[in-house]
Amino acid sequence: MYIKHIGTVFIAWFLVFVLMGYCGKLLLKPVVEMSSFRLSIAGKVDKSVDNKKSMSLFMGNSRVMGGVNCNFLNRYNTDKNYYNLAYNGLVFSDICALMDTYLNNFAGRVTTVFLNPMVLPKKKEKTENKAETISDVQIFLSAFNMKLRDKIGKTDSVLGIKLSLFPLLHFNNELFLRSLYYLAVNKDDQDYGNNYKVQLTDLMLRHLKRTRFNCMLDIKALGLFKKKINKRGIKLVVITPPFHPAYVKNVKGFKKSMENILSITDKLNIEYFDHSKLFIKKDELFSDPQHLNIAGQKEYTKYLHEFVLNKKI
Amino acid sequence: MLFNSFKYLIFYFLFFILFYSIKNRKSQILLICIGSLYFYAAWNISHVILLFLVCLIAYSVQLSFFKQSTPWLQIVLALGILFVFKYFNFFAHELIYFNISLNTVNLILPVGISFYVFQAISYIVDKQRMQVKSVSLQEVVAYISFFPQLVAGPIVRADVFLPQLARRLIFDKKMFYTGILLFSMGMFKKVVIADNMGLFADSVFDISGGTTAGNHILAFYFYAIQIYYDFCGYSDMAIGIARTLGFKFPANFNRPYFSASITQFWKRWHISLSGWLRDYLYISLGGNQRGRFRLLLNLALVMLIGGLWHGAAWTFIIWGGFHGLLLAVERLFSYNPQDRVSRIFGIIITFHLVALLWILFRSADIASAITFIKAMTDIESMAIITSKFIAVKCLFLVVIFILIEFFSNLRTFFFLRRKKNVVLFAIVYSFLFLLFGNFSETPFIYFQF
Repeated sequence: MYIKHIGTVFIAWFLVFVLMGYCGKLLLKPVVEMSSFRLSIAGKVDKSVDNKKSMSLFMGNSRVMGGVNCNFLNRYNTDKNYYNLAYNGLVFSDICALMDTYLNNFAGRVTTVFLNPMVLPKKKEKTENKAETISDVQIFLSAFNMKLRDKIGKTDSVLGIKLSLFPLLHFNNELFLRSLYYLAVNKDDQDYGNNYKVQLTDLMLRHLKRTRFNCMLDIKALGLFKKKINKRGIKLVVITPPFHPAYVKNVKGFKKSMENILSITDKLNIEYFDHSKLFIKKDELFSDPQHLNIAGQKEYTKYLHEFVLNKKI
Repeated sequence: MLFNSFKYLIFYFLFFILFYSIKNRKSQILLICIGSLYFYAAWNISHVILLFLVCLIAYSVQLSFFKQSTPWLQIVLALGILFVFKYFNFFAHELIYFNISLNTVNLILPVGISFYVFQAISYIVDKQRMQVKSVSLQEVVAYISFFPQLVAGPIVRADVFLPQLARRLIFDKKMFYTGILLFSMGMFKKVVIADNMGLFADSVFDISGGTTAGNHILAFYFYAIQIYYDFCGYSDMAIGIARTLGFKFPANFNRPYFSASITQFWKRWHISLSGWLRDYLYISLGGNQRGRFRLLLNLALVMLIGGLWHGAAWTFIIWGGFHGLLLAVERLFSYNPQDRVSRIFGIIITFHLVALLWILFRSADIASAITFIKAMTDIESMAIITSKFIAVKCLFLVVIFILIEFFSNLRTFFFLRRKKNVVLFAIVYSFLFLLFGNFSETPFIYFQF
């Protein structure tokens, strides 16, 4: 009977688990290195002599930053590289970690950071997006043993013990899987571009009316973030990409949140561009109430290109 | 305090050490009471009073003052508590349509109230039926509040639990290891399968009708797997933890999606609840002893109440009603597929019927459920999946799910009889767990009931 070996099962299981947890990063690193999935770039140190183009980064969560298609943007611009590092449910601590990596690995090349302010709520629990649960950039980055901890953002911890102290979790990595997927099909979910136009049903309208948009920014966090990157001579620009007209119109607290962002950026003397109502009459450009579809991405990116040129950002 | 949280691990570790260090039975029971009440207080400290009150109601059945009478008073009191906290606002709201106006009460639904009230009723009725002996108040508290199954079952019967308290529980290596294995499998089901399926399913259900038919169809399948493995995972973990402490609880699931009929499904799904409803409600209503019509009526009624047990909403009532209707139809036509072909056909039909009814169960209201079903049939967008990476990941996990379900039939862990398979199992388990696990401490779905 299997019960005879149950002790062996337990011990073998435990040992294998620990071993795999510790060796995980050995398997993870080559895959992430090989892949050109946009976030996997963070793990690489740019050694290319030829490529000395300056860089602009877009940071935030995919809900609003999904509208910025850097493939299109890089076609318009030849003197600069744009990277969209927005990620599903990216939280502030992850943004800081990702920033650190870029500033270290691409020293002197990053000139502008476009930040979506929705990722800076006062309390992490207030982010309503469940996709936050798959955000594990910190785990990904710590797998490379980089010095990434930023005291501005709180690291995920349990009973005061930082999860980053558990190398067992290093192997678990959404980004590893996404890099693997990108290696296989050369696309990520954002690249599918949602070839879909949202159909605004009564039910969705009711859903939007029930939704509360609560974005009370943490002024301290944003101030520290600004200070941190300004020290390196990098410009911080806060932008709010377009929202679906029905979202702007029906979601409670939307207006107040936008006013809050304006007042905070004003206090901190940060350039802020509110594009939330840019497509207020173009609901065909959205794949759902919060994300642009491929047509919307093209139009917004084109607008952004001209906007950046005009504003000389 | 979730089973899949670090805080719980610390609590369990301390409890385990203390439990086996204690040398007498009574102190062990007392520790179960204290530990369980502390566990419950971690959710909401004021609800501990309510839990204790339910225990007192159950205990009162054996007091000499009440001994001779039928325990209607205790049953009504226990159900009354459940009604006030879970159903009062719902009925108050619905009575408006009959021009009856009642003020709603502002109460937080205590975690696991449906489970422990049913356990209390189990004790009350079993005591009345002389199926359990009189026990001390501590034993009643230990039975009703036992922390592994306190918040989401399984609903353990008094005649199963209480005899196990009759002796001091000593550490048993085999029980401990099998408990750990069960717990680990439960954790795998929850963290690897259910939580990943939930990421996709939730994103579609939250905007019902607002995305492609392809997304809706995938969410339809993924939710069916999510709810099963979320609850089954919890049950396995609860039974596993109980085993490490020396308690043997019956299984709560038996591969329900391999059922060839709805009747079979309910013999394999949430067995502890369906058993409870059968023994304490269906039989009390007369079961199949009062003619064909009454039998069908009883089936429908029991399932309606079963639906209502899950939550105070029309979606649950209709969900239960449909199940009752399907059970009655199967009984009416004596549907019981026997041969291989009709069994396979039956499994496919039953799974899809059950999954279709899960839409009602998951949706915020009936309109959302109808929109969801309509959205699934939009031919133009049937081939469009907007989050392909997550979909591919979930489809891979569906394969793992099918393998687990298939192999769990051939006597659990049969392959562990060979040592080399032990290592293989350990590697595969660890690899999948570490690579696909969602460690975000997502609450269990059944906690809301």
